[in-house]
Amino acid sequence: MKPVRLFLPTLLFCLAACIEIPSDPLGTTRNVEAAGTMKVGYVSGEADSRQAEMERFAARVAEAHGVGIDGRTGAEGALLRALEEAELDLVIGVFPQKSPWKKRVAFTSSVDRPEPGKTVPVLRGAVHNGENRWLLSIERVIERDSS
Amino acid sequence: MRNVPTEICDTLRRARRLEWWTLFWQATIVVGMYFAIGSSQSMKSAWVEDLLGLLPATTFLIALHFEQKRPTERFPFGYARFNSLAFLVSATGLVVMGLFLVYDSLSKLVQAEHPTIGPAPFFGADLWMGWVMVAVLAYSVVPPVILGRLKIPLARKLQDKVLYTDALMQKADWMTGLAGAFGVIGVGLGWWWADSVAALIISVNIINDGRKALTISAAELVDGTPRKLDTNEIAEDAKRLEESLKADWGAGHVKLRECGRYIFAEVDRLDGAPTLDQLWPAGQERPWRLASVSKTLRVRETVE
Repeated sequence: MKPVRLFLPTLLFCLAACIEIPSDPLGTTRNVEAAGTMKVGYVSGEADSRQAEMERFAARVAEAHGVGIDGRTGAEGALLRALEEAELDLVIGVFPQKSPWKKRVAFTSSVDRPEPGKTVPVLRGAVHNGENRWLLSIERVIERDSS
Repeated sequence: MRNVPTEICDTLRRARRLEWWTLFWQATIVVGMYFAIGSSQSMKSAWVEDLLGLLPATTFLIALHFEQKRPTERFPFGYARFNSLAFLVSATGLVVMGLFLVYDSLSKLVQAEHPTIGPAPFFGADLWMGWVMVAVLAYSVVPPVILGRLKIPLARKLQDKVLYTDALMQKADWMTGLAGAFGVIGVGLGWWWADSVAALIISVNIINDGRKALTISAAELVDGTPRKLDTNEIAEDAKRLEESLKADWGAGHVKLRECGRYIFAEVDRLDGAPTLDQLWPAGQERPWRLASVSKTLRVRETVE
């Protein structure tokens, strides 16, 4: 086959791929939207005002995807482990950027802009490692709200 | 240029200029990639390879600086072999770093680590960082391809192994760039393994570069017969020189070794009192390669 004939299919493939990029290896975005519910964990032990902020943040993410929330509250370790096992879609809590969990889960940027120092705990979300489309969609919610 | 054959002065100057350009462009790539690495394993490997890409150019410039120094009381044979020593050091660095990267990417593959590539702020919008990585990788391919192509003819003319290896490494950089981009786009498509597989390909490439350079430099340091620029085979001009010394100048036993770009010969006897230029086989290029022919009392037959 001549290279010219290959060009159009390759271009179409690349364009199609661009729309799909980034994707989630575990398909979190697709699964959440298909189920119509987002499984959220709220880290317990925070002040009431923080709890309300966490719920508001979850509501904004859910709204962006047009889904409901199936929330539960628990200890940080238990929730993040559940996230690792893909039992939760999103964990919201007060974490520093330099969290000991940093390598095991992916944290979003701070909900309260601007981002403070790396060791300062702030309200942020955590998602399963590698779920890049899901992470990007949450980041866009944070970015939209801060602007 | 001092203490180098006049025939190669201009080419050496051009090579030196190219190596300075290499350092400049390679530095821009290394800095650009550093800010785009994120948690991508293939980006990390590509960055390390580009960082290591600075080694041969630096080695060449340092070796050329020493090559021009006059022999001293403490170093009566001059510094031509400095080139080989520096080459060995950079080759060892390549192999060690390549092995580390193989281990790193294999362990991530075995642990089934899913690389997270987050967003990058881009004019107020959150762009996927993977696109920034692909753009940097695409940029990292261009200067090495051009510089590598320019260096090969100079390396052949100068019989400079460091320059030649440098050119080959730069030619191989397009592969690194493509493999890295494949890894990042693979992650984007949800293939978590693509990143580590691409990193593995790049690491094997680094080890291969290092292994070749290590073999050639080690052969030179243990006084092996001059080798071809790109392989471990005996150089053609060295073969012809040995034949000519035996057939035309009555030498019984001949030993040849290489110091940097120069050939040093030891013979048991020699007819007449020829000049070095006369000893160089007729019709062969680069008579400046023959730096010295010594008559020694005992030259053992070279082992087949």
